[in-house]
Amino acid sequence: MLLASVIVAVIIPHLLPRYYIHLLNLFLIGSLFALSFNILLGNTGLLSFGHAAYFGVGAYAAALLMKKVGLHYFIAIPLSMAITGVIAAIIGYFCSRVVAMSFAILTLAFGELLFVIASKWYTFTGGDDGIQSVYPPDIIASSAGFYYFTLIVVTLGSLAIWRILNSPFGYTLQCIRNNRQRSESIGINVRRYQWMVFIVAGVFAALAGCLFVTLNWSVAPPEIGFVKGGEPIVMTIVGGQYIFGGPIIGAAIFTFFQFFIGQITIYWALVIGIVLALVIRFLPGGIGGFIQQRMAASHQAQQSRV
Amino acid sequence: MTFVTFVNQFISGATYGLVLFMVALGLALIFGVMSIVNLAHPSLYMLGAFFGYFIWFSLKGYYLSFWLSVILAGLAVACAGIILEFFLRPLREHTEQILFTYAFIYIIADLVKMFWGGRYYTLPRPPGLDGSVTVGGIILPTYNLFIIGVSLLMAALLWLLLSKTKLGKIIRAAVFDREMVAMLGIRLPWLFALVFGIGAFVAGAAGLLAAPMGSIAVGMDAEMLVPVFVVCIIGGMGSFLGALIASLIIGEVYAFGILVLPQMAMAFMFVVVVVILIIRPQGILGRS
Amino acid sequence: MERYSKGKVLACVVGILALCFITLPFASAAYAGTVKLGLITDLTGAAFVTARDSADGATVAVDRINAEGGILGNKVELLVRDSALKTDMGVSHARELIFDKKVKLIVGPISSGVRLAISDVCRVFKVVLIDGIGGSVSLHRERGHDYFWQLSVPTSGESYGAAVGCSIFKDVKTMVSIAPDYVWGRQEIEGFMAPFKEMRPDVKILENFWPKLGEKDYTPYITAILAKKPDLMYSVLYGGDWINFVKQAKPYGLFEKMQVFCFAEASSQIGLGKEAPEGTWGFGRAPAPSIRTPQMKSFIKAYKEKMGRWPSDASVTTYDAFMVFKYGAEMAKSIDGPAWVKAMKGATVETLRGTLTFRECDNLSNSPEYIGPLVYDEKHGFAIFKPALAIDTGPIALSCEEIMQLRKKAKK
Repeated sequence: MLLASVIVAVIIPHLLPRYYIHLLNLFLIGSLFALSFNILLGNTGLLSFGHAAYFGVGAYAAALLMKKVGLHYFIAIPLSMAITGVIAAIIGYFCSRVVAMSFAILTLAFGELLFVIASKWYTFTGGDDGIQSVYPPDIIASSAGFYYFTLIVVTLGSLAIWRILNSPFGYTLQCIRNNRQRSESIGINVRRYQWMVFIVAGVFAALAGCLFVTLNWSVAPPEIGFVKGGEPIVMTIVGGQYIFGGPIIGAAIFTFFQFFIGQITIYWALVIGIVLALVIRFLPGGIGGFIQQRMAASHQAQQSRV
Repeated sequence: MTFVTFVNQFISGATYGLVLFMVALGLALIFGVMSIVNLAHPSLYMLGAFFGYFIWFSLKGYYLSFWLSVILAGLAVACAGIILEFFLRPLREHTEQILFTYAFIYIIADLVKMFWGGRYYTLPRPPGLDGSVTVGGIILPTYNLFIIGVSLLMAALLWLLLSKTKLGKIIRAAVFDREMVAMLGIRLPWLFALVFGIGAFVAGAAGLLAAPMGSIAVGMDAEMLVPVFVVCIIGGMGSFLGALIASLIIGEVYAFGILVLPQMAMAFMFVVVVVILIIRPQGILGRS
Repeated sequence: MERYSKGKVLACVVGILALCFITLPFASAAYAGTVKLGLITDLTGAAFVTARDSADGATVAVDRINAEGGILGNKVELLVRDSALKTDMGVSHARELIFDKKVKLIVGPISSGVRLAISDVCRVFKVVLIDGIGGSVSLHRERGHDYFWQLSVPTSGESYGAAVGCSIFKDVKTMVSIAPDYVWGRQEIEGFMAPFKEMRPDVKILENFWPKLGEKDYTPYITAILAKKPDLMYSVLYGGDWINFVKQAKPYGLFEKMQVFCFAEASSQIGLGKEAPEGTWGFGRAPAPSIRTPQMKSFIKAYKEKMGRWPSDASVTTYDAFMVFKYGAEMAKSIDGPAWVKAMKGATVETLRGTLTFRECDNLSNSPEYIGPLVYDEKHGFAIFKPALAIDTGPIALSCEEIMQLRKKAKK
C-alpha cells in the first residue's frame, strides 16, 4: 500500500498536464499549512484565526532574505522559520494567557496587525504590491523539479509533525485539550505549553510559506490576513481535526473545490461556507473522521463475524 | 491639539464606540443567556443595513419612513437570527459554535453580494437630524448626537426589559437554571429563539441606524468583526455594562489614535486589549 | 490524536487525492475551435464593486466581438476568474487559464499588486496582458515588458491630469490634499506635486493628509482641514471612502468653504446619487456618460440593456482592452502572443475614448485623463462631468531612456 502511493507520487508529474502539477503543489503546501494549524486545534484544542500570519511572515522572510540579503533559497528557508518562530514567540506570549473565544479573537487581531505592518512598511516589505519576482533556484525550477522538492519538504515536515504529536509533548497537549483544569491540577504548566505549541505551529506554517513564495513567485499582504487564515480552518474542519491525515484530506478537497467551483460560479465563498457549516453540523470529525468511523465499524463487524 | 479638535474627536469616538456597543449588546445578551458565541453577529448588522436600505427605498416618501425602516429592518434581521439559532441549537461546544457561525459569515456575505452586491448604497440622514448644532463655537453633527442618544436608550430599554418585566425575569432565571425554568413549564426553545431574535434585532437596527453616517456595502461585516469582539472580550462576555465601558474605551482610543498614527489606530486598540487581558483575563466585568 | 494505522490513513489520503486529481481534466470543459480570453479580477474583497464593473465591460465586449464575427472567424469565449485581491489566487488562475484553458489574452485585476504578479507569469509564458485599470507605474516602468500593455491611465498620467485641473482655479492661493495611505495613494500625490508646483508656483500647499485606506471616521481630517482654511482641497479618496468622507463632511459645510477637486470614478458617484456635493470638480479615467462620441453612446446603450445599470470607468477601459486585442489579432493575422506583440508595437487603435497610440518602448498608451465640474444629472440619477475635458498625459511620461534605466536597475 505504502509502496503503491510512493510510486504514484513519484511518477505523477510526468502524467499530468502542467497546471495540475501546480495544483498538486498548492495541495501539498496547503496540507503542511493545515497540519501546522491542526497542531493547535485538533491536538491542543486551540482555535486560531490568525494562523496565516506565520505562513505569510515565513513567505515574506524567505523572499526578503533572498532578494535583499541575496541568500540562497535553501539557506533562507531555515532562517525564515527561525525568524517566524521569534515572532510567534512574541505574539504567543500574549495569546497563551487566554483561551477559547479570547484566544480566537486575539490571534485574529494580531494577524490583522501584521497585515497592516506589511502593507504600510513599503520601503521594507514592498507595501501592498508585496515582493515580486521571487524565483526558486535553477535546480528545482522546472515543473517536475519543484514538485519533487515540495513533495520531499512536505513529507519531511509532516513526519516531523507526526513525531511531535506522538511524543510526550504532544500527549501533554492532548491532555490540556481534554481537560484544562485537571491538567493544571496535576502540575502541567498549561500556559507554558500553550506558548510552546504556538511557536511550533508557527514555525511549520512558516515552512509552508517558504514553499509558497517560490511557487507563487511573489508574496503580498493578503497572505497574512483573515481571509487566508480561513483556509487552514476549512481544510482542517472538513478533513477532520481528530485524525492526523484529516488536514491532508481537507487540503485536497479544498484545492480541488477552489479550482472546480471557481470555474462555475463567482460565489465560491458561499459554497465553502455551506460545506463548512454542513460538516460542522453533521460530521464533527470531518470527512476523515467519518471514514475512520466507517473503517472501525467494518473492522468491528469483521471481528464479530470471526 | 485644540479644544475644538478634542471635542470633535471625543464625540466621534463616542459615536463609533456606541455603534459597536449596539452590536455588542446583542452579542452579550445571546452569550449571557444562552452561552452561544455568534461570530456572525456583525454580519447581522450588515444585513440590517441592507434590508433597511431596501425597505426605506420602497417606503420612500412616506412620513417617518426612516424610523419605520429601522423597526422593520430589525424585525427582518431578527427572523434571520432565529433561523440561524435553529441551526445552531444542536451545537453545544463553544469551538463548534464559533466555527459554525464563522461559516455563516461567508454565507451571509456572499448572499448579500448575490442579491445586492455590485455597488455602494447611501442613505440620507433623516430630516431634522441632518444638520449640525453649534455648541460654544464648535460644530457638532446632529446625527452623531442622535446615535449616542439612541444607543443609550436601546441599552436602557433592554435593561428595563430584563429587570422589570415578567419575560425579563424568566430570561434571567434561565441563565441561572435552565432545567428549573423548563420544569416550570416555560418552553425553552421558544425562549431561546426569542432571546436570539432580540439580540439580532438590536444588531440589525444598529446597522440601519449607523448607515446614514457612511456607505452601505459588503465589507461592513468584516470591519465590525474584530472591534465588536474586542469590546466583548474587554468588557467581559455577557456583561452589558462591561460592553458599554469597553466600547467607549475602544471608541475613544481609536478616535484619538487616528490623530497620532492613522495607520496604527488599530494597534492602540491592541495595547488596550493586551493590557486588560493581562490584568484581568475575564474582562472588566466578566464572570471568572 | 488516535494512533491509527498509518497505512490505512495513507491509503485513504492517496485515494481521495487520486480521486480529486484524476477527475480534474474532465472537470474542465473545452469548446473546440473557440478563442479563449481571460479576465482575472478581484470579485471578492474591497474592490469587488469595480471588479464587477470590469467583468461586465468584458462581457459586453465579448458579446459584441462575437456578434461581429469573432476573432479571425473564431468564436470568442470569455473566462472570468476571481483573484480576491490575493496574489496566489491571481497567479494560480493565470496559470490555469494559460496552461489548462490555453487563453490568448489576460486582462488584469483591479489590485496593482496582483497585476504585478500576473504580469510576471505572462512575461515568462509569453501571453499578452492588457491593463484596463491603470494604477501603479511599476507595471509599465521597471517591471514592464513586451507582453504588458497599458491601455488605461497609470498614476503618473492621472495625477498630471488632476494637476492641470487644479491649476485652472486662478483665485486659489492655498491648498491641502487628502489621499489614502498606501502605494497607489502615495503615487497619486507624488505625481501631482511636481507638475502642479511648476504650473502654479504661487499656490502654497498647506498640508497632505493620509487617512488609511478604508477609514471609517474622517472627522479628525475634516476638522483639521477646516482649521487650515485652504482655498482648494485635492482628494484622491475613492469608492466607499469618498462616500464616507462626503457624508461626514457635509454637516460641517466643508464643500461650501473651499473648492474641492476629487477622484470621481463612477462607483462613488453612483453611490452618492443626489447627495453629491455641489460645486466640486473631479478627475477620472473614463467617465462614460460625459464622453459624447457615437461609439460611447452605443456602448452605454448595450451595457445598460445587458446589465441594467450604468457603466463605470472600469467597464469602459476593460471593454477597450478586449477590443484592442481583437484589433491586434486582425493586424497580426494571429492570436499567438509573439506575433500579436510584434504587430502591435507602436500601433494606433480606436477605443471608446478616442484614438490612442502605444509607445514602442514600454507599450504605454497615451490615454487621456478627464477632468471637469461634477453636476447632478436627473437622467442618470448621479453627478456626471458636465463637460468632460480630456487632458493629454503625454507630456508627463518618462522618456524611453529613463524607462530602460529603471528596468536595468530593477533586474539587479
